[in-house]
Amino acid sequence: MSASYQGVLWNRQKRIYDFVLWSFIAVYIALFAFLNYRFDPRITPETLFIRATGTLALLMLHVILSIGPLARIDKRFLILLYNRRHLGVSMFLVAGTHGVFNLAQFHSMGNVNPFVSLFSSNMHYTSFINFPFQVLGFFALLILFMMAATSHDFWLNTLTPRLWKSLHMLVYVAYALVIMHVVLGVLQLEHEPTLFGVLLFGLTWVSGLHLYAGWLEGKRDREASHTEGWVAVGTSDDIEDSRAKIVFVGGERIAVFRYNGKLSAVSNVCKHQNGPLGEGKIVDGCITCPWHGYQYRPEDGCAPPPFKEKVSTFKLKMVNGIIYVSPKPNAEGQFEEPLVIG
Amino acid sequence: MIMRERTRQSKPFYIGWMPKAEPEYRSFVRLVIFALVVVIIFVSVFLVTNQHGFSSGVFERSNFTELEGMLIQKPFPAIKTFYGKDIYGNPLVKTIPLVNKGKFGADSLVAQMMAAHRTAGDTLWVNIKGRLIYNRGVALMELTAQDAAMHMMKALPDGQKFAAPMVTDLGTATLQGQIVDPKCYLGVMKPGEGKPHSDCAIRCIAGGIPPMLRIINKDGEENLLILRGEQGETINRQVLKFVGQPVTVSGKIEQVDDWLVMKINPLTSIETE
Repeated sequence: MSASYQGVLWNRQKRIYDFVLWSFIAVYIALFAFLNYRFDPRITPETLFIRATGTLALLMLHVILSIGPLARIDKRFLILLYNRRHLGVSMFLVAGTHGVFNLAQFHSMGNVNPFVSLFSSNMHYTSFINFPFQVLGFFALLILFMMAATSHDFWLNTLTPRLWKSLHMLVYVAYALVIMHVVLGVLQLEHEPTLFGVLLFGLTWVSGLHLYAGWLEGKRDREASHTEGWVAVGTSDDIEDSRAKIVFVGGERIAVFRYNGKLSAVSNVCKHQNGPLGEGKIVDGCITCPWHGYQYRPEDGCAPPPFKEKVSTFKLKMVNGIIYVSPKPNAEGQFEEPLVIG
Repeated sequence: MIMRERTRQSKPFYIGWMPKAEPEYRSFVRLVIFALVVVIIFVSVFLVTNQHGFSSGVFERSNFTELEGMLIQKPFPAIKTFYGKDIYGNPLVKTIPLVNKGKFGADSLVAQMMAAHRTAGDTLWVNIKGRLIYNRGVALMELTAQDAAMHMMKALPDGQKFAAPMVTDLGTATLQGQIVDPKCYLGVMKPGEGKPHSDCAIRCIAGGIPPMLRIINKDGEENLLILRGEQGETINRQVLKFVGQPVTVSGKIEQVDDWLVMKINPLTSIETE
């Protein structure tokens, strides 16, 4: 959480996260090399490194894509989500190493520029099975590069969260390109059905998790869905202290927080990365986003100074012990008198 | 930013910028780390043990070998080495094709050497130094130092007679196989065949390395045939679109000393499967 451009705001948990992450990277590459030399020492060092980095990047991409839906299914996975950007940048570095080694191995020291060679060696662009698979990998890498290069909050603020989020949703395009890169590339030579099976398992895992998390969220929304007028939220006893209840009104989620004997309602969408504020908690008197810890005051939806983010607030009323929320949002950052629990 | 306030809650809540995660999160993340360790062990063992396997080809990256023999341009740039005679008194020949550094053939290097030192009708007896690439009794030499790799020892007067290859016509045939570049296939790269390697093979053949048809018979025995045009000309550019794919090739096969050469019409003789 930063008010202006700064380098990475390191903290203890980010350091632990990165240490564990790079330990995994080192262990995987070492293990892959050891096993290759143990089972078939005829492999060349270049092929070893290309395969180690390629498979590692693909594995990391599966982990990255799994964290979002897993965190929606079980909140304890939020600990992996907090520093997911470092995981993404690290994955790009591994994938980039794979790409650079491939370009050097297969396209350099020839009669044309390596990039010209990449696009012009295999010209079977109209064939499915003979399609130039390395081009698919190149475009996947280009997307991952754009994501890594804009991963800092400076770019989030500069590009606006909406555009930034759209750009980063291209990870799914990159994933599709990578899957086709593998299917039309190395799997054309390595025919083992079990290799296809593992790739299919990964694809099913990622798709299944997203579908299940989406279904769960849809179910919650349907249960809390309302369309017009003041909407009943429930009684104050339905909301745990310092926590919120989410209601789905007219296509928007509203988080109703209970704290210090009061109630306040804000938009459920964090301005940082659209995190679900209603799954957060009141910490230090502020609503704290479960994704990256961005904070907002419950009564006016403003981040505490020097931060500038603002979310919409909503009017609340209580009739016969039942809390009602107005579906019409106030302006972002507008103060709304908290409802005192009688 | 803001003083931390202890709140009493039944459910733990994770905040990344706090110094420590709550105990429930810490124990959970240890479990996740353990699961990921199991996953990477499984994935690495599974991938390594399910690979196709690698060829026994050797590229002597750090070892330079000197060869002495006759420099020839046709049917492909090579050095013919002689290592004795057979029971009929014929010289035993080992022909080692020459390739350039990187993804280039040695045609121009050999042509330059010939032009610089040969008088009409003579053949060059040379000493060359390079890195050997070999697999299953077939060898190539990379002229790593390029033109500095060759030293003429002497011109052999009337050497064409001596250098004339023993050519045996083996008739015409239709063969199924794959067009590869011999430099990578014999050991520089592994795998040096198939789709993953096809871009590199295309680049090598486009750079002048002779295209080679690799065939495997039903008993798993491998044969390698250098592809040439019907008049023995190079056809590198014409075969590029077929490289790395399963192909059927028809043409006339000749045994030239210890190599097989297949002469084809590149426009009509190659079909993809």
